[in-house]
This record gives sequence, C-alpha cells and structure tokens, in this order.
Amino acid sequence: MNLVVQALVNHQSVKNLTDTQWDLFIRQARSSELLAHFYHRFSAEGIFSSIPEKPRNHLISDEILATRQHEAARWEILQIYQALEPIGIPVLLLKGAAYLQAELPPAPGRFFSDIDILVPRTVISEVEEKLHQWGWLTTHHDDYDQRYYRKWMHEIPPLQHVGRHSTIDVHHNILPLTARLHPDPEKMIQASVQIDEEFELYTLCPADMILHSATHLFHDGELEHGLRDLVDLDQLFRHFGEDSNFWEILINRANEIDLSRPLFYALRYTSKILNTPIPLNALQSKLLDKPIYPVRYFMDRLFLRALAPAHKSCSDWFTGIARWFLYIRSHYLRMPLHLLIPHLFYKAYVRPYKEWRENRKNVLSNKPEKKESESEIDIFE
Amino acid sequence: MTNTIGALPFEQFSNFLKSEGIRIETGPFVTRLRTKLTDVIENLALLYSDYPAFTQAGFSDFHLDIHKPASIRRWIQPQVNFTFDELTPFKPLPRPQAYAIFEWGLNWCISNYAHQYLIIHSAVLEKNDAAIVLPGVPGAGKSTLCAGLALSGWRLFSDEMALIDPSSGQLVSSPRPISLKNESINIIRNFSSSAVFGITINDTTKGSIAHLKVPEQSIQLCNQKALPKIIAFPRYRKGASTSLSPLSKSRAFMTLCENSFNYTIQGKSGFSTVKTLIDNCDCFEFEYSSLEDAIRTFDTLIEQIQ
Amino acid sequence: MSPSGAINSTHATNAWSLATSGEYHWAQWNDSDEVVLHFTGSGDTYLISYFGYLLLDTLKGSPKTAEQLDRLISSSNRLSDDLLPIPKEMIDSHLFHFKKLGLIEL
Repeated sequence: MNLVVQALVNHQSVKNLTDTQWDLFIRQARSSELLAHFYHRFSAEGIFSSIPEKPRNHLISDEILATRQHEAARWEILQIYQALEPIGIPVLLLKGAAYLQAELPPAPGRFFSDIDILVPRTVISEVEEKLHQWGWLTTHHDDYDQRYYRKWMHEIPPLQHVGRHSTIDVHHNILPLTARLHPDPEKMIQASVQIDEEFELYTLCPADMILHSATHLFHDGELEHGLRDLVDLDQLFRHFGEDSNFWEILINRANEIDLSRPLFYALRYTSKILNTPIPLNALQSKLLDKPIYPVRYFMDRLFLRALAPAHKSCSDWFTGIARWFLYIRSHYLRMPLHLLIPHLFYKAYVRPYKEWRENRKNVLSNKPEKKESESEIDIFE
Repeated sequence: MTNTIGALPFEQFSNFLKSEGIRIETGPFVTRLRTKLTDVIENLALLYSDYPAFTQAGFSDFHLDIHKPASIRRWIQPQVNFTFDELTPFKPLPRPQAYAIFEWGLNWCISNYAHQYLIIHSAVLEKNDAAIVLPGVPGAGKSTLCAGLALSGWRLFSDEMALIDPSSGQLVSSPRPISLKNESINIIRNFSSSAVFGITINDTTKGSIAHLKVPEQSIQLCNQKALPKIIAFPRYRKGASTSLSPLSKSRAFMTLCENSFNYTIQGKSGFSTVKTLIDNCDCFEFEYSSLEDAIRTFDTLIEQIQ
Repeated sequence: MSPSGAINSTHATNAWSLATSGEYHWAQWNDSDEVVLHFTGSGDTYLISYFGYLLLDTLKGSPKTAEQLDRLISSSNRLSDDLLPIPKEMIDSHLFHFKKLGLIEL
C-alpha cells in the first residue's frame, strides 16, 4: 500500500493511521526522502501535534537534518557568489538551490546534495578558474571522464571544495549536447529573474523552472528520487498556477524551447498521481507534444511504477524492470547509439578494470583502497 | 502484551527472530530485529533477557536484519551483513562478528536517525538523581570505567551515547550491553563476580570484544531521565595514580563538540544545548589506572554535588 | 584557500565589519579567558582567545580599520598593561584569520 502518496494527496488521511501503518509510512517516506517534507506539510496543516510521538520523532530528526543542510547551502551559495562576482555575470541557481534561495514551496524540508548553477558557455573556463581559486577542485581525474564531460555533456565535471567538501555542478546547458531535445540555454538565461535586489543571484523564470524540473525527471533518467521530484513539480504547478494565464505561457514556452514532451509527462503524472489541480484545457492542449496512444499506454505502465516510493512495500514484479527500462531510455535520449554504446562499454568494462588495477597498485604499496559507497564501521569502540 | 525476552520460551523467541522478527525496546527506541543466525539468537537471549519485547506488529524505529550475504563467498570465506530496512550501510564483516555487527549497526542507526537528541559519544551513568557524562575517544578506557560503575550501584544510561533532550537539557537513558575489549574483559570479570558476559568475538578491527549484561535495575528504570552534573574526560594510563583535574568550561565545550555525532547538524540549537549542559556541570580531566580508586573518586564526587 | 588579493588590512581606509551573513552566539565562563563562538553563517564553532574576542567585540556597531581597532582596544583597559602596545602583526594576523573564516568582511 502506498501510504506516502495517499498522505501527499490528502494530509488528513494520516489521522487515522494505526501504529503499524505509521511504521510503514515512515519507511516509505524515508526511502522517498520525504520525511522532512512531511514535517512541513503536516505543520502547515496544523495536524503535526496529533501525530503519535514515535513517528513524530522521525519527522523531527529529518527536519533538523534538512534545516542544517539548508543553512550550509545558503553559506555555499554566498561563497560561490563572492567567487564569481569579479567575472560580472549573473549567478543563476538551478533546482534545489534555486527553490531554497527564492523561498519557493518545494524548498521546506527538501534535501539536495549539490549546488547547481547555470552560466553562459563562453565564460565556463573563467568560472572554473575563479572557483578553483576559492578552493573548488575537480572530482574527476580520469582523462576519459574529463574528455567525455567536456565534449558531450551539459556541465563540467563536478567541483568539490577542499575544506568543506561541498559540491557544485556548473552547467552551461540543461541537457547534454547530444540529447534528442535542444533547449536553447541563451534564451533561458535571458529570461531569468533576479531573486532579491541585494545580490546578483538569479533563478530561471517560472515556466523555465518547471520545464527544467520536468526535463530532469522525464528525460534525464534521474529516477532515484522520482517521487520527490514529482512533488517539486506538484508544488511549483500549484504555486505558479494561481495565475490563470500561467498555463498558456507555460505551454507556449515549452514549444519555444523544445521541451514540450517533458511538460506533457509532468502535467500528466502530477495530476494522475498527486491530484495536482491542472486545468483541463492545459492537460488536453493541442499544442502539447503527446506521444501516440500505444507509447502513452506503455509509458504510463512504466512511470506509474517508477514514481512510487522506492520501498519494497510499493513494488511489484514489474517495478524493477520499469526502472531499468527507463534508465536505458534516458541514456538513449541523451546520446545517439553510436556514441552511447562505446560509452556504456567503457563504464561497464574499461573503468572497473582500471579501478581494479589502481586498487591493486595501492594494495601493493600499502595505500588505502579507494573509498566505496559502503563504509567500514569504525565509529564505535 | 509486554513481556520481557526472558519470559518468552527460547524456542518461541528463536522462531520469531527467524520469521517476522521481534520488537525489542531499549529505552526510547524500539528495534525490530530479524536473524536466522543461532549465535546471535543465543547471545541475545542471554544479554537481552530483561528487556521488554513485543511479538505483535506495531511501530518500530529501526528494522534490522542480520544475515549471510547471498554470494558465492558464503562457502569460501563466510560473511555477515547488516541491513537497515532496505539499506546496507556497511561492507560485510567476517561471519563470527555477527553479534557485534548488530550492536554496532544499532548504534549507527541511532546516531544517524535520532537527531531529536543531541548525541555525544560518551558513557552516561546516574546516582542520587545526578548523571555523569564520560565522553571518550576509543581506547580512553571509557567503557571499562563505565562497566565498573554500572557494577557498583550506578544506574547505566548508555556506554556509547549520551542522548540529550534539547528542550529540557535532560539525559535520556537507553541502556544496552557494554562492549569491552581485550584486557578490559578480564579486568571486569575479576572486578565483579556478578558480571555476566556474552560470547567473546575475536579478531575484530578492535581486537577481541565481549558484551557485558546490563544490571536489571538499569533497564527497569530506563524511563527516568536525569540532569547531568559532572562531565569527566577519562583516560586510562598504565600505572597512573588517580587524578581528577578541573578543565575550563570553554575547553570542555570544544572537546564535547568534537565527541558529538550531531552537534553540527543541530546548528544554533546544538550550541545552546551544549552551553546549558556545560553551565550545569563541573568539568574535569580524569586519569586512572586502578578501577577501584576510580569508582571511589566518582562516589565521593557525586556525594559532594548533593 | 581564500581569494588572494582580497585581504589588505594594511590599507588605512579599509574598514572591517562583522559579517552580515550570520548571527554570533557567544559562551564564556569565569574559569578561563577563552571564549566559545558559534557563527550561524558557516555553522562552525570556534574557541577564541581573549584578544580575538576583544577584536570582534570592538567591531560591533560600526566598521573600523585596523588602526582604529588598535586605538580603541589599547585605551579600553580591557587588556592588561604588559600586553601593550599591541603588535601590529597580531591585529593583522587575527583579522586575516577571521576574514578567512567568513567572520568579518571589508
């Protein structure tokens, strides 16, 4: 049973949960990275205090973590701003950092690991140099990675700060240069809006912000936090959609910058899954780039599964296959096959071999092995 | 229905662990544990016999599973895995360390998912309604001292983590078996005839370890919180005479932060929680080699506090 | 790592002020003259010497140059006489360090 989506659609539904259901709710919300989000939703609805103490503690714990992460991110944004000030370009924040700095509805309780910025491609090396002076260094030392990023990608390899370990993704486009769709970053930068008068910090304009989020979720294969990203879209639609002219502007803009297909999916699945109030004439607009019926039917089967919480209680036999298929699809959409196959081959075979060789060298010279995602337990006596 | 694990027939306890799991209450946390490994089950039956447990479903803070990984290695070099719900946060350990991975893993869960408390890597004990906090880096002799005090009439709150409720400044008790290493195991065996130990696990990264059973009274009274009165940073040094030297409060503040799992995560609230804690406590550096002398020192100190 | 060239406290017209990007929370006790500072901007906590504390405390209110800080602290009676006059390098190195931590700005 998908208790998380039930609670997203109707907050009051949690009032009747039993202890056993609360148990499942917390686990599903944790695997969706939505615990802190629920802390804020329930508080805003005035039902937080009616939640039993034990599940409440898990919401509080996660909220404390999210708040700290937001404080740290604000500090990083300030550092980035100061580093790039001499170049004289506006610093354009994307995704989580943008929601936070502009205090938009998706922000409260939303986790994000990296700070994403968009800058004109012409100044990318200047930006990299300034960030380097302030302590942000490249994380990818592999020559293949560097070449791959710089030739084909929409961003340079992530930069990490030597002292604080924060990561910045510097984008010059919102999709890889090889992708099927070709949004024009120039147009998006031109339409960007200043967040507050004090700093030269910008976000994408409302329509572009939604289109970017939709593209990221439905075209770029980042489905690890699929439900959370869908919640972002839901919150943005509700917020900007208060202006009744917004929907027409949004659909026209999507066609203008070649992102009509991702918008179609965003409208379809937020309304289908989260009951997002989207006007019927927007959902059925002739201007949207809809896939033909059999494809649409097939995509429904895939996305309705992949956008559920990543918890076994929300999975069936087909869920894993659906996620895998969407992963392959996203790679296919990013790159023509003649580039994709060598790339996947490199990732699957050449790199593991190189890493193995590297580790063996380290073992022979008694150097510590490269860090893996799982860690050794070493924090306790 | 609440029952202690000791009140359940062993067969039933074992069957629950092997199937839907059993929910064990350790102070403010309920852990649903599943495992099929008999050494873990037997050690739990011994060390956790006085803890409340539930066999029916309900809310659990942590869902843990201790099991053998399903890889080819299970025949060549058997290993054991720890999962938290669907997460496998650590690399597998050698099979004989199964019980240790349960205790370490549960500590990991608390320090990562219970930020409603300020958590300090520290032993905590209580006497006469006053609590002492003994923070310490590994190897400082914190657990030996903690075990000695727990076997000498002090009420154990924790041998690993001080849980501080930021709203009241009180310490919350979550007593669990005390993990002792190498020589400390025999020191405590010789110290008290009432010391009950679980199995000894050899060749861990910390050497040999064994877990000391918590005195029953500490478990029964674990809902009673206490205000901290003394912070002492212990250091065991062979041949040292017992010495308790005052530590400036600002230095104690910084050292406490260094020993905290989530001070930085707590932000401004963490700062004011530690500030209140330091305000209320006398702070010391404590060096010892004789356990008897050390216990006498803290007995005297706690009398003077009153 | 800090922006090279951004720090030039020797220039007489350069006035320093406390950073506006966070709040300063202090903890001090009468058993020592070291002070604990928590700065919400960076989220970091520092143990600060009495002299460092005097510098930051004197910066409250309005921006001041290194020379003004020197004069104000020297005449404040908050520093014992045997520590006077304050060596110029001592002020400069403190200001440099605080700038690096984001505690003060020009």
